[in-house]
Amino acid sequence: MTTPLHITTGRAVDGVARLSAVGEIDLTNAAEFAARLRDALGDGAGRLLVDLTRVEYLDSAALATLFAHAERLDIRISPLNEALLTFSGLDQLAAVEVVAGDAGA
Amino acid sequence: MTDPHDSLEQLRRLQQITDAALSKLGVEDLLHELLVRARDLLHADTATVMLLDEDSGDLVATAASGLEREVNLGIRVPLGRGFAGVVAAGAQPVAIDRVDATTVVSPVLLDEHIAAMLGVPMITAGRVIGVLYVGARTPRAFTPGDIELLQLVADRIAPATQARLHSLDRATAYALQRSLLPSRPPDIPGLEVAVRYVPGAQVGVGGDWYDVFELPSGGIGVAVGDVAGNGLRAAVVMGRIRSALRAYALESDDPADVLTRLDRKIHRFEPGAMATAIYAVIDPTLATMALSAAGHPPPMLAAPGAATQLLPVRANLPLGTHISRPRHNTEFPLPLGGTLLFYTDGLVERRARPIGEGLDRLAGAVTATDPDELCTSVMAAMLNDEPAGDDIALLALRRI
Repeated sequence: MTTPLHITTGRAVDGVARLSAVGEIDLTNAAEFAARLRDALGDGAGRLLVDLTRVEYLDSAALATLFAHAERLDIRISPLNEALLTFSGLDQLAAVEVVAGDAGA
Repeated sequence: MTDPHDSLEQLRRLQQITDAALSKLGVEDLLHELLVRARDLLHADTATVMLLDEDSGDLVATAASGLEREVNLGIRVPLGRGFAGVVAAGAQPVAIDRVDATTVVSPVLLDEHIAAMLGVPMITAGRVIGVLYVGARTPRAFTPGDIELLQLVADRIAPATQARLHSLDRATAYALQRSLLPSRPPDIPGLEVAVRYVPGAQVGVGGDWYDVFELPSGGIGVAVGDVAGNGLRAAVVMGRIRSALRAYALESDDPADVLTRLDRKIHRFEPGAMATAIYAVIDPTLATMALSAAGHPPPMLAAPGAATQLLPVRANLPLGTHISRPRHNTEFPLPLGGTLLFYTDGLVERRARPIGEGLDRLAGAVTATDPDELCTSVMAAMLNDEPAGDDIALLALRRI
């Protein structure tokens, strides 16, 4: 039932670290998402672009992870999940960009 | 030391008992029966089970045969320390033939003059859940055959123990939730109120709650919230947060102020907990209300002759984020005959379906009708007769 989660990390040509996730983030893989996000952030103070435009579903554990590092994140999310970030107030802490479809890839 | 044929026969008997008569026993009785048999099987003087308490990381003496004092005294051993702690940390059998302060932590073992010990990990689904060990009062060298036999017993009882603890956890969480969330809300003149709580099919009881109460000022407080996580731990934290919110509600009629105090309390006393909540205060005339949302989706309002709307409540951060920002209220009129529906995210979030879709669907299902009927029809419309994945709390009210 759960769509597998695929996470890729790397650095864009402009040098900005990025993490892209595809699939669903739920109880079964929220810990993996948290670990990969921490790794991608590293020890420095640089920003991380988190591309969630192809994430269909993210649960409260995933939101808690984003909150924990909100000040250093630029989040891209699909319009369908925009309400989640708005209600949660995450858009008040992190830079959030609503991107339709695969435009963020 | 033990005759292999005799042992195999006894092991067969042990397994028969595990399968049949023991299936009805609770966890303490199950462990005690098996310990008596493990002791006989290994010709040992004592047999003890210590189970891992995940909150503290300690092993706790849970059942004993021959060393009941360990259980009665509530002996605890940190993971990695003492005899049982080393067995659990290494997830390997350990045998010792010298029992003193350098090898054990439990004073009972020293008092009782235990001379030799053999311990094996209890493992289920790849995780150590505890340690089973036997002790002898006379010097003895445990053989590889003894180790194998005791490990067989541990492998036998670990899944049964885990299953019983899990169902105990679920039953306790359920009982707690039921005691905290009355299915009949209080009678409030001028308002009809209905509530629902549904545990999630996969996660069981979680940390969702609703609350409605009269305030000293004559106003009405309405709260709905969701503690992240599930099971007994989430239900316990929910109970404390719900009761703290009530206490602060007695001191202030300002919802943002109440949530600010609640957030401070969570930071200090519930580290690691995160919750979303919405708290509304309806004024004594019931004509207006002030709402403050902490990371929580706003209620739906269906007024007679108007389209159902998601109330544009200004969002504030969830509770327990460790980030301090000013909280805000948003005020709305509560029209006569208008129905307001508060809910938790389990209602609108479906796997593989975005929240926006769930909210649109909910808006289509909410009408200005009797709150009890509304709860029933909304659940039917949103769940499509499928069991809920996450737990769901609903509170509907209508001004009459």
